[in-house]
Amino acid sequence: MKYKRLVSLWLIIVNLLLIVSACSKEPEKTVKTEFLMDTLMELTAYGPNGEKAIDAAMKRIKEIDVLMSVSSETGDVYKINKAAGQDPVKVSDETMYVVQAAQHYSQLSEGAFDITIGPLVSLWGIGKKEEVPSQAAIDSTKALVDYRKLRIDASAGTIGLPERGMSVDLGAIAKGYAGDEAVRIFKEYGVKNGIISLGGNVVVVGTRPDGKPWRVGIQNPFKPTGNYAAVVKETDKTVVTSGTYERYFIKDGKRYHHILDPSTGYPADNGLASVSIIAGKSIDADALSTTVFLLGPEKGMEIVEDLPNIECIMITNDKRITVSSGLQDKINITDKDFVYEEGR
Amino acid sequence: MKKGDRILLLVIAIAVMVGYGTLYYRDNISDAKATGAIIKTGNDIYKEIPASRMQKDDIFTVEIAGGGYNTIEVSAGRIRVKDADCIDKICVNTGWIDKPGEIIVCLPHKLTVQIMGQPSGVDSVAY
Repeated sequence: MKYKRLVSLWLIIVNLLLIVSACSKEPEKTVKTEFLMDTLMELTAYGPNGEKAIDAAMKRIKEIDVLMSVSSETGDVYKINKAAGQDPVKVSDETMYVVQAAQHYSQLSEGAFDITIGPLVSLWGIGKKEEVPSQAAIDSTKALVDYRKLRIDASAGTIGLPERGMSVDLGAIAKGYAGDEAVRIFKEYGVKNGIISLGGNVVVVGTRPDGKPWRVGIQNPFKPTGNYAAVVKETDKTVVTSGTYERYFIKDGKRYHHILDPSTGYPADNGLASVSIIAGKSIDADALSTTVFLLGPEKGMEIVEDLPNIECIMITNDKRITVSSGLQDKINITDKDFVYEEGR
Repeated sequence: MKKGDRILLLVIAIAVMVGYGTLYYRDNISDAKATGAIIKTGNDIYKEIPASRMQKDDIFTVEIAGGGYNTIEVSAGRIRVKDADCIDKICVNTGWIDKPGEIIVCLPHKLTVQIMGQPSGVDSVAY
């Protein structure tokens, strides 16, 4: 009897220990959401410093928002645009860094992506108003868009626009920079596992707490946010999507979205519904998702194949998915509505 | 074994089973099953609708602090923004949501309607 009792006691203890260890296998998780940079931010961090890391990252994102938004009067971008047609203005180091990166992608795409898209963005005002501008207004505004006229003096730390009415817009790249900064802060605070989602720009930090790679879904462009068409598994990477479903208005049955083509002055209309870029740095992925979208399915994929450590997923309006060569065996198409087109 | 011991053992055995059951549920079932919904304005929780109330038809209007409204409808386990006076109507166009991880965002009004719980099969969605 005594022996039996000992055995059952022992079993109970082992069971309890198992449960305790199973419960504690996942480290403390902190999630916070906030509306910043005109979009929804969701930061997730694991480990004891999670909350502090998230608060510090949010604070940094707010600073970047002020520096780089077109509307905050104390920021660099506002100052650059206000001084258009006058002398160049002195900017902070981080604004210089982001403007140079944006100028790099403007040059790489020969203006398909254009850092001086500002006048067209405000003419259309997608998300603020709902009218199609007149052709005359589009033509005269389009003439103000030309990245080759932007004056960047890195040694003096100044940026200038030579003509009145010109303006820079970092809307297609600033969130990417903010994502990189959030990662830097997470690491400073010793956060080894986390997910940063800045309005759908996803950056995964490290691995999942269980050591496996993070599973990142690629938004299904035709369903509510959170429904995905495909899944990629990544560690310490960023996945940024540009899609026609993010910001748009519908007029007379036609959809006018926020990805404006500097060459036509209208929203890009090339058969693509979304472009997702996977990269090491979010500033590159953010700029490239727009750049590749504007270059279109063929030229866009070519540029991706030429760039090292950059991968791409394209989804077309007729529900076909094409990916860059480095992803061919890695992507998992989970939604059967989509047709996977292999190789190009 | 005395009677008291048996009761104690039984209690512990049940506790163990409940414990394992909870763990199994958390790891295998909970993330795939539709739960309640949560409505936020800005960074504040406006309303939480538990899973049990999602089957009950309901309609209510959220007044936005800076002016404006979003009318929310709950029906048959689903939720949507039925109407809003925001500029782009993207929240209304999104339609019904009912799966964990699905979210309706009204950027002009800083309003979100989200089905609680993690989306099944992924840790995050790039949109």
